[in-house]
Amino acid sequence: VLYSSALREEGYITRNRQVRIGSRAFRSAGWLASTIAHEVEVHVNIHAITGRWYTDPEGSALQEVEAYDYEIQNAQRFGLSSAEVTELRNRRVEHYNNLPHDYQAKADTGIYTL
Amino acid sequence: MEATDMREEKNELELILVRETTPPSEPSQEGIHCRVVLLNRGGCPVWVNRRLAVNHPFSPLHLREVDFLIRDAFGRVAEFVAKVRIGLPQREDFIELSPGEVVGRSIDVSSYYDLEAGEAYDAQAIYENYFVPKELQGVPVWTGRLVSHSLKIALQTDTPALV
Repeated sequence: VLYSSALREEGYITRNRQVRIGSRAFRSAGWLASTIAHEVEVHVNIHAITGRWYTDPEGSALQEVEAYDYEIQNAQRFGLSSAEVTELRNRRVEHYNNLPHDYQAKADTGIYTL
Repeated sequence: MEATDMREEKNELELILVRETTPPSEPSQEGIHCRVVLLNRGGCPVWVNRRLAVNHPFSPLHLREVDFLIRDAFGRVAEFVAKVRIGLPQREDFIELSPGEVVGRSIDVSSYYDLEAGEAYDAQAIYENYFVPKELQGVPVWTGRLVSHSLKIALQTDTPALV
């Protein structure tokens, strides 16, 4: 995991598991922890290591929904404020709305595979 | 409209893509470092989203400003293989560009796209902004889609390609 001062995104990960965290993730300690968890605990540990790395539009959106669901479920662990949790929920909705109805139904039941 | 001249008619905002010869001083110097630049060629000021965040071309519109169309010699489109965590742009992401002014950022394209080492590609940057912060309602924030000219890029053979 590397910090990149030039990054405009909060964080991103490449398929070969290189994680970059930008200054926008440093909004609060909790937000930073949640951002790293999004990238490492979900995209690395669940997606990259298991080979379930979706790059198509539906798969990408589904895995973002999964990552935000994980963050929301761990909000207390990271010490996120209610405003931060609301933002996570809003972002989840943005990606969720990009999914076809059948994948929305799967995500609703915690199934994030294509 | 030709791909080589995609200037927006309504206010002459232009998107320019150039290869950086000297990569920024980041931990990983390898890759394909390009600079995406917005230039106000018009005669009036215009507000733009300078965040220029990169995300999957099919990600929600407000969660990205830049993506790339990268094609090899056979016309095959390179896949976007990164995963990006980003929220909505903020008021401070928007700035006024006076006539002749530019704003831009450096991007390592190979961090986001699946590119083969040694392969030559044609790359075009795409800028999209449809978001206007509530604090800037009534201000001439540029909204729409711009495509840059095409740029030849290649990942050096001694640079590890994405697996």
